[in-house]
Amino acid sequence: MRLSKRKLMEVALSIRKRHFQNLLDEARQLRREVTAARRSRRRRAHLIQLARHYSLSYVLKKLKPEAMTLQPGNGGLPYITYDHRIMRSHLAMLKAQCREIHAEWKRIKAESVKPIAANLKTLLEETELVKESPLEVHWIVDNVEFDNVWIGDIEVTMNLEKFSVHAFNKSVDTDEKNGYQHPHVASDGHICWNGYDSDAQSYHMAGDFLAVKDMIDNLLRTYNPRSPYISLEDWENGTSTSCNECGERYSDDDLAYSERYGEYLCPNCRWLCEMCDDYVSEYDYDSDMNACKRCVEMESDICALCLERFWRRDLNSVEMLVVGKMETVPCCETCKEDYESRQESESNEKEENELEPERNDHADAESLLAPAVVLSTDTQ
Amino acid sequence: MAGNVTITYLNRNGGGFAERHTVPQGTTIKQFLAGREIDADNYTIRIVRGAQGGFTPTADEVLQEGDRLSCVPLKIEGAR
Repeated sequence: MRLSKRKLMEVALSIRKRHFQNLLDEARQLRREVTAARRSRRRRAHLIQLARHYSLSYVLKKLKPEAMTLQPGNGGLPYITYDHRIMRSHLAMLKAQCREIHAEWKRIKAESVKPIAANLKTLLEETELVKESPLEVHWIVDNVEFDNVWIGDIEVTMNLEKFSVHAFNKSVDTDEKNGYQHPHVASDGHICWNGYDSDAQSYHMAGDFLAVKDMIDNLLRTYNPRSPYISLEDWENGTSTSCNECGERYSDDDLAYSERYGEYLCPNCRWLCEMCDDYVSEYDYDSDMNACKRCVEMESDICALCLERFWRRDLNSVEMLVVGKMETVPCCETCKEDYESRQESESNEKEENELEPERNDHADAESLLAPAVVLSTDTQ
Repeated sequence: MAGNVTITYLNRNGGGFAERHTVPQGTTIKQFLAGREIDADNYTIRIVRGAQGGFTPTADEVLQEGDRLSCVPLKIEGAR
């Protein structure tokens, strides 16, 4: 796709017009800020005057530091606050910005559209036109490499009508890099400019696209180890993490983090504790209880009768004689039932035994007491 | 002004505005940058010149009326 000479001139003129418009908008915004700053200063001066008139020493004391003022509060009571717009330096800075914009306005008015057209012409020679509406170009920043780590070819797309730049990696599978296109490019293609975007935007607005292109190229060829989306080590090895048990590297999706033990565990080295719902290593897992050892220790107990381990929530208790003393001991449901039924039958038996003599008086005593009366003739 | 040329210099001073500089006729890129303590080895330097369009100048390139000179540092550290 190519732009005709006529179209190129039209675009250059529209860029110039847009530049004027942006300067006008900026100047208007600055004028509003200057008015607001002046209003704040006047308001504070009036408040100080009133405080002096009514001898409000407390208010005067609070308003004395620079840029302190009163604001109406929610309940109708005013509160003292800091307002940077009151600062003389703030007003001076706004005025300086106004002067700068005015000077820029005068400068670009005196200039012809030719430099913008020349800039555009060279840009279109160095890049490829993608779209005419909005006007968009793309180019490749090829063979990006940092410290022998190959990043790949980066395709940059720049909208010439509004400041919008995207960069995508054309060489590597960025899924392995958590989607990052470059150490300084997010997964959606946005470049992190680290504050350089204000300059780039100003150049873009003025139609200095070649300077913007140079900035993008240089940024993509510079690695900032202090603040990358993804470090070079991770770029090279992938964003995988080692399993703390076996040491094998896995993608973050495959690893589970054990909150309680503070380690990453792969699917082969982790067990889920049914009690705390956390993953643990084999060493910390009790396979009989299907839980981590810590939960087993804290939440379980031994049944005093069958000596098997149960969760405390499933255990009951029984009163029983332990070393000659009645004590409450934990026991499982089955053991409790057995114990209680045994106790009941023992008690019934005992009761029956106690009733035996009485019954002897009335029942067939002969048959019951028969062995007792078998006496030897000698004794008789 | 006779004997002088006016150029536009994109200097990345934070404001992003281009500066106008009037320099004696015959001033080379090397002389202009030396006055601003710019080491050409650390910058991408370009001139956009009327009909000629944009190009990377040599150190001995003489500045001409209406040139737009941009110096972009080679090291621009992005972030995340």
